[in-house]
Amino acid sequence: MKILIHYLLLVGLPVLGVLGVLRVGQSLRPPVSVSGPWTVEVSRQVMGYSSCEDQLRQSEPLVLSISQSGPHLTLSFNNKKKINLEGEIESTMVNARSHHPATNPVSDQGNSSDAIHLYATIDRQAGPERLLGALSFSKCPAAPEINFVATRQVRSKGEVR
Amino acid sequence: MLQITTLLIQIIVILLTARIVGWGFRKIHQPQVVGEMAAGILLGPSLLGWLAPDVFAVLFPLSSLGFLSTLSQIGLLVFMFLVGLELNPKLLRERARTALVTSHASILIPFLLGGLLALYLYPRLSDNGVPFTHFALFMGTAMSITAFPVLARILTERKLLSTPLGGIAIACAAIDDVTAWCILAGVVLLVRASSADNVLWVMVLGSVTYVGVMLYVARKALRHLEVKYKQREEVSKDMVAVILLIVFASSLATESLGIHALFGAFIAGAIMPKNRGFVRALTEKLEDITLVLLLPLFFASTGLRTSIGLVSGTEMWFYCALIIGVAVVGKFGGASIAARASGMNWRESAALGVLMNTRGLVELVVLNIGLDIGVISPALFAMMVIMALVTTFMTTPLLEMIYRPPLYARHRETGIIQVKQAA
Repeated sequence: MKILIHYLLLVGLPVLGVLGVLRVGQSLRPPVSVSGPWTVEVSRQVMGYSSCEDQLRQSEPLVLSISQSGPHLTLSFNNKKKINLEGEIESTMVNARSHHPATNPVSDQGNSSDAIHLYATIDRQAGPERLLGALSFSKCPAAPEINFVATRQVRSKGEVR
Repeated sequence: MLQITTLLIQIIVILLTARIVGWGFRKIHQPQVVGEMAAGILLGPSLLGWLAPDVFAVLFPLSSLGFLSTLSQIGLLVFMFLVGLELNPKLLRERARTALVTSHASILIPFLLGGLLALYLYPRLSDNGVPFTHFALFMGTAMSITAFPVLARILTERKLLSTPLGGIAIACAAIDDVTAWCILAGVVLLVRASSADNVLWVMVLGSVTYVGVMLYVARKALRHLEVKYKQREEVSKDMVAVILLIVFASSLATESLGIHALFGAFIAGAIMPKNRGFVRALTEKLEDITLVLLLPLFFASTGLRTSIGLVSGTEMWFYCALIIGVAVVGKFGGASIAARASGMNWRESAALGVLMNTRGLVELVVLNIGLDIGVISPALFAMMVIMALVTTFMTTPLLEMIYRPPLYARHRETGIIQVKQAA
């Protein structure tokens, strides 16, 4: 009898607690998911304007890979110079900057005069998810921002995220 | 560089680092495996990639990681088979009364705390691509893990295995292991069923059929192995081949059913004959290559996926500290309270709590599954890896503090240590 009471107290109550947690958690709203690879199309009119824009020029399709942990994002382009950015998502707005040298000595974009800034909005109209945004280079203040459209790559079969 | 050359260089570097760091950890009275886990992290982007990015890029090019990961997964399958093989149902039956309450409470209390923590972390470290139910169930499971193999090694090294405390601890860890793997299989099933191509009821029905076939058909058929072993008193190469075929076929079945290959390997080990000589001989055949060569590859593979740099800033380190705190309070507190309620004294209860708090590499296995199926984010993965390392590292010194060998020996002489049979 004593063991049954202990069992109910130490096992039964936590089970009820877990059920309660699962119920309460349904009302939580986490940030919008943007993780995974996105195929990027850069606005053709501005390409080749300066060495900054040329960084994005390459033969393979340009892919933006986003790693997400809550609102915190790590973005990397597959271009030759491997542009890496860190940023955040707020509602449907993505805002990212190149790594700061103090936080990542590995990055080759550490120099603040070489800062790259990306901002984009999630377009949730019918069809595949898209990011509509622009990139700006502080090294080339005279150059216009590079507009881009990134389309989320379809997840392969069996892949959950 | 040729792929085979790259792979060989990687294996050499990983083995060397694992042995050196493992040796260093043994010097500070830590199990070798804790050092090997740490070595994996050192070789990843968190240290080598941060200190020497060029060396890291040459040593672990992105294109080569698939081979390393596959090799480590094969090792992990054999390791999970060995974990299942070590499970002894007789041991569980003998101590069922005390072990059942303690082990179930030591799973469900941290599970509940993991769920509560999920309420806090979900908006901060997850996204709307992961349903809360999946996130909370996974967090609960990850918090309730006990590393059965590491625990067994700690108990053996400290000569506690044959004591009442050791017996209860190993029985609880075994029940924990089985329960946690069943819960995890359920979580993986849920996550995979939510993707468009899978149907939940087909996966559930298939899994139930699989477990039924393994428990009632395969287990009986495997008794022939025991008979053969008794006749020859050795585990022949043919026998090893048959057993490995069973392990990989079982893994393939569970992977196809959507509950992960590792679960199949574990079940294959659990249904093997439990004749002591047979288990020892089979373990000796498979253990060395698995533990010395393949597991360090898994640790390195995990280290390569762990970027501690993602845990940056006060906010992220606060989450990390919170995760460690909840993990320790849940497992240590849950197991200690349940053990005390089952009739053990406070010292033994606390020692049991410390032992059950060992998460070790089983936690790493679970975390890798979570990252693979996309339930946890890379930053949360890094935090949980830190938690696994901290909780495993703290076991030996805490046990030494609470349950010192001389004190224990004195207790044994005077017969103070007794496990009161509840009810």
